[in-house]
Amino acid sequence: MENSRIFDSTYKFLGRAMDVSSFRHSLISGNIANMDTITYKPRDLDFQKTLEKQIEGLPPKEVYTTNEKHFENFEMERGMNASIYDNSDTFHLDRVDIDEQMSNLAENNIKYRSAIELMTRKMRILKYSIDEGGR
Amino acid sequence: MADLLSSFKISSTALSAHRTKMNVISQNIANAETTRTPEGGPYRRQMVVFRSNDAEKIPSGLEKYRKEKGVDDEENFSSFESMFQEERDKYKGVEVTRVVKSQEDFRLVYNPSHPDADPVTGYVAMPNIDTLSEVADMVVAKRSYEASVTAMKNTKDMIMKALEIGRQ
Repeated sequence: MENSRIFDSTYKFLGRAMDVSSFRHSLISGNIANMDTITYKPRDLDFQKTLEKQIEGLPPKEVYTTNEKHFENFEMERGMNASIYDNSDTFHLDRVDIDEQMSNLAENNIKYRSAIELMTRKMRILKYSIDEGGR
Repeated sequence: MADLLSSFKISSTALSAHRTKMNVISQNIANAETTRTPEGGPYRRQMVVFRSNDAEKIPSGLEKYRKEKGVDDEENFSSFESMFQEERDKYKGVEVTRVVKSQEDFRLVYNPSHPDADPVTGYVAMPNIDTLSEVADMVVAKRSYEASVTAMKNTKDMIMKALEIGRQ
């Protein structure tokens, strides 16, 4: 798909955005499912930390390839890490803040839908050009 | 990467766990005045214990199949196995591990004419159930159930939206 002249890298990135959103959605549903489980620690994606790791952790090509004929193995994804965050509020046995989880759920849903909306519009543009501008 | 169907599974474990909790609460309320049980003595209040489902605890469909059929062909199955393992690791639902009985003291009510009253003191041991706290627990269970239903609706929403890609 990368070298395709029809599908550019935007499709790939949008697809990745949907992947991340659906993964986060499953984490949030897990948190909501465990809202009454004592000692359960809620999990979420740590976007900031992943971004930092991505920025500082990507070595230049000369470092990780030993031969110039090697493929440039550029991978955008090295795994979004699902961090367990510890609410230090130990006075409450249940650590899942349900209001926070519900707002995360709604927010994540909207993000997913917007990624899909972008994808749909891109597809529509593509289709329009295939149709020779609707003729 | 996780797909949305596993979110469905996670939410459904929560639904069934909270339904079990609801059943136990109804049983407690129904038996708030029961002084005779098969084990003898008044009814004891029951509580559910929730536990977060560990990924390795849930047997995959393949493992079930192998156990049933007694298949022991490692080579043929190893790649499938890893695939299923991957599938399973995403799973983080909730389950009811056990239903425990409360060890609180029974409520003593003075009622000498009751057939189960202590012949000497005239006190009847009533179940250790506080109806008010049961009702409060019921509200909590209901809210948790609703939260999971909302999560499920969101999942469905997302899937339906994803189906719209490429249409028209």
